[in-house]
Amino acid sequence: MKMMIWKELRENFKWAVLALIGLALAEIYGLYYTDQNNPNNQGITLLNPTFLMATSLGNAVAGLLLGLVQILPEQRRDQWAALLHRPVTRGVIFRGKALAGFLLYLLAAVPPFLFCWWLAATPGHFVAPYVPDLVYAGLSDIFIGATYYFAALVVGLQRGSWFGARTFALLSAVYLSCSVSAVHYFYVVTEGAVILALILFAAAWGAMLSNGKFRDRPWLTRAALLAAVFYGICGVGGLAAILVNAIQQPEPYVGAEYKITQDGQPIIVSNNKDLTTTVTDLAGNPIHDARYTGRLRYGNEIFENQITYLIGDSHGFDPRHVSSDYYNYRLSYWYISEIESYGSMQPIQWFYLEGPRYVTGIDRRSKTVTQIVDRTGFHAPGLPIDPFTGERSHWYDVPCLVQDGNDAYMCDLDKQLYTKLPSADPSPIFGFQLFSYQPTGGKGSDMIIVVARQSGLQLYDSNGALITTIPYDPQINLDRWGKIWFGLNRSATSFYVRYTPSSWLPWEEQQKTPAYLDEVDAKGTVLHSYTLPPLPEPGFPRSWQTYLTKSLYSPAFWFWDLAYKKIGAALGIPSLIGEEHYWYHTNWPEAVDISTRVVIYSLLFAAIGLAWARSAGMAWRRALAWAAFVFAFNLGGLLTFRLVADWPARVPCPKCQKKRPVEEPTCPHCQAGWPTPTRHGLEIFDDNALSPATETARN
Amino acid sequence: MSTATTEPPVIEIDHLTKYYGRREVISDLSLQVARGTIYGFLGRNGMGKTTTIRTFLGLEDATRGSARVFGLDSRTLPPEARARIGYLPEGHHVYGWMTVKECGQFQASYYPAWNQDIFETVLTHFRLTAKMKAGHLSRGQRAGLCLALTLAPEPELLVLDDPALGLDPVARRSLLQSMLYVTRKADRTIFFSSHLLSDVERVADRIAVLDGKVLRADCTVEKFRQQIRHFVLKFRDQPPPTPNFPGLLESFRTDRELALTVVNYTPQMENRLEALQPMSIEPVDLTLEDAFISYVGERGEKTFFTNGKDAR
Repeated sequence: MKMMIWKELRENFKWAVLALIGLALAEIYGLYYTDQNNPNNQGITLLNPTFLMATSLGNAVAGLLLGLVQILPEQRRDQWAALLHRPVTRGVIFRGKALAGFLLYLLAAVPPFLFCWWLAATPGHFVAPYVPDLVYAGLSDIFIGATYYFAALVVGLQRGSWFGARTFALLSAVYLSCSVSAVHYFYVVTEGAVILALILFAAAWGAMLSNGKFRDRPWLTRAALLAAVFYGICGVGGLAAILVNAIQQPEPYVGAEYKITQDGQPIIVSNNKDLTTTVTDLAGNPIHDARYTGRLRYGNEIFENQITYLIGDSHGFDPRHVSSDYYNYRLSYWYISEIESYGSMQPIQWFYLEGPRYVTGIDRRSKTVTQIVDRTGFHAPGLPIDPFTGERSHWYDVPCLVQDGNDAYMCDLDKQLYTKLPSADPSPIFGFQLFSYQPTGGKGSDMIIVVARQSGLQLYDSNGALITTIPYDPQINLDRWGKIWFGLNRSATSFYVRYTPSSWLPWEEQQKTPAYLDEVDAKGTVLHSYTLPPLPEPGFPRSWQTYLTKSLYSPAFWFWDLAYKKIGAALGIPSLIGEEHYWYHTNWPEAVDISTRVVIYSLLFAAIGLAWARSAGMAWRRALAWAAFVFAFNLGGLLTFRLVADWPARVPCPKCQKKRPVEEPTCPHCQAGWPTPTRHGLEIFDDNALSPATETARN
Repeated sequence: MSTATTEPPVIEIDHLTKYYGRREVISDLSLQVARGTIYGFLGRNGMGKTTTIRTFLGLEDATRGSARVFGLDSRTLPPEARARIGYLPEGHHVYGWMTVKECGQFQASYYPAWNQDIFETVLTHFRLTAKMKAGHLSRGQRAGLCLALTLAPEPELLVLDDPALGLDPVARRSLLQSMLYVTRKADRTIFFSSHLLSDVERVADRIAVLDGKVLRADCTVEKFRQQIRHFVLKFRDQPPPTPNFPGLLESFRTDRELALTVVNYTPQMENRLEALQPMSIEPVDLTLEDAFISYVGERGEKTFFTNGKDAR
């Protein structure tokens, strides 16, 4: 194998170097590229979208081309025959090729990325900080590129139609690439890439071991090819569904919500299926006021913002889980928040580092860190960093609010001020927000800082001076109605506190529980109180695509998923308890409906598969095995069967004229064998010859 | 070399049938190659020679039937068996970026019985030096290098697929000499396909002829030549119409002569010829090439007359 590796490395080294140069140019270009129309929020260095385009597309193309140039030129019949005839097993030849090719792929893909990594990680190159999490996306793209390399081996080694198993094996890698944007975690993508690479490796190995027939391969490589092709088919199906959805008009959102008018009246605004909007009071009486139905209605409403998820005992609820649902390892703002400078191009660009929990200021000219902000305030780099311990408001807020234990701080990066908000109340903080308003008779806008403590809401002005404290409504159980929304009118003379069910309550219970709204003045006196009855649950439209997609679920995966949730819930796995509750209780009728449809469709396709198999002359046992496979994987299984199975050529039987497979010794219809070739009397055979003619003569 | 042996055959092909899609390219081929034989495998282009070779070497699967080499199933030939088979595919492929020396080193790494002397001897025969780049060699030199790579492991069975294809006469002669070099040991077997019948005639003990996807001949070279006879019948006048009788391969008419080529000649045929009342019947010796062309060529009558029709 050593010589095979040496030969492959020498033979294809030039292509790897070419790919390395191409990738290096593309990645460096992507790293330095900035969209001039949108200089902010473009992603930080290694997560710059252009850089990621280079790594995702570039590595995929490099992997694919390196695999193809390694196999296809050598596939000319005489060359390939010479290669295969060497006195080593085909497995050794394949492993030598695959190992060398993989090394060459790494040679092409890794150095450019390492160079970009070095550029991003060392000061003086970018007005951007570096955290190790930035490398995940590029690394995952290298892993995914490897799947393209192994897919290329399948494309090169698999016999048969280009539009059959070989193309769909390649599409499995394409599908993985497309799935990356929807996958949240690096480790999940890495696992997926490694598993798919192993599957494609095994599928290519099987193709190498056989002379083209599926059934001559080891069972593991057969399973691998089936898995790769099935995944590719699922990918094509998924992409087709996306395309269909893209060209269709989106279904309108149907649902209702509470709003507060500038007059302080709570109203219900309903979005109807016919795209109309209905406004009613709390009793359901229609309100015919153009201010609340037209396009300008937002200007006539009190803007509310959620301040807390809960007050008091969390009951095990972690607010970070809410936001983690949207986490994606390819988005830089999960690691680094670029703090908005509103185009002012200050000499220092500020960033909040989510992991280490401090703010770093980078000088735009020298591209080095010049300031650090941590819980001790502003200081020069090089000193020990004391990270923030609590929550913070949005870093786009000016000033930003930072929590440190039971204290809140106001951080003004422009003025480089870090000020503690004064409070005589040491009770825990559960949230804070900034609210803008127009001062009465004044110009422009001012702001109010609202800090939600255990005991009440503290309101501060923009200078950090305490304006007032609004106690919570004593008649409301804050443990259950701790998700608090706050709003104020334009002149900041009336404040609105809405008590909605706490986030720790189950979602269904939250939907069925009423809420309460208090209008209070600056002294904290409750002016009006309202009870807000639960609104009807928003309806989610059912489309025929969704119906069809769910009908075509693989029974194997669908029933395993249901069982997995049941087992997981029984074992007490937190994430699966909710899932189990959803499918086995809340949504049980849909689970039954999907299960029924899945079984019916799968049975139908299994019957088609069985008919195909028998008509192709397959023995009952093999035909039934394929039918079972199709049943397990529904339409995807049927298509996989069509693309992967050995379909022998069929020719008319010389005796009964019905089509019979050329591989079978007897006709399945009339049991006749194959006739011996016609002899025309001109044959020349001597006594040592072994021909049908002489055999007959001898007999 | 003797073909009569009690040893098991080196190559056994048993009712081999091969389809490409729905096209049958080999039909029910059975063949045995005894140890120590030099076997010429003949046939026109596209008759299935290369496919047969690839199939019995296990590089392609038979649609029906089977093949064995050294008594082992071709589909599962182990590396040890392959090490005993030297295979030179058509096209004389070499890795162009390697030097001649590197080609030898690469090949030698796979063969425990690699004989460097043979390798160098054949290289010298073809005037090749170690530092030459394989990609820069002439066609003849490339063939020589391939042959050296094939012969150096001292294979018990040498399988050559049209080895002289595209070579000039000098290179062909060198190739033949080198090929024969390997058979200096009595138990070596050579199975080769070729279109160059003079080469086959020079070295082969037996030949097999594929024609129309079917094996039509499997015999010694002498037998093949003996069985195909050519007669020139001279007439005073225009020759009579060509008689139609079994065994007639082709006829050629001129204004005074009728030339007939027949196969499996029998005394009854002589009577049929004499019944035409020619002035004379002259038997003509055929070379293997002439015999082969008559055997696999177009059947029927050929003439210099317009449209092939009788001038009368």
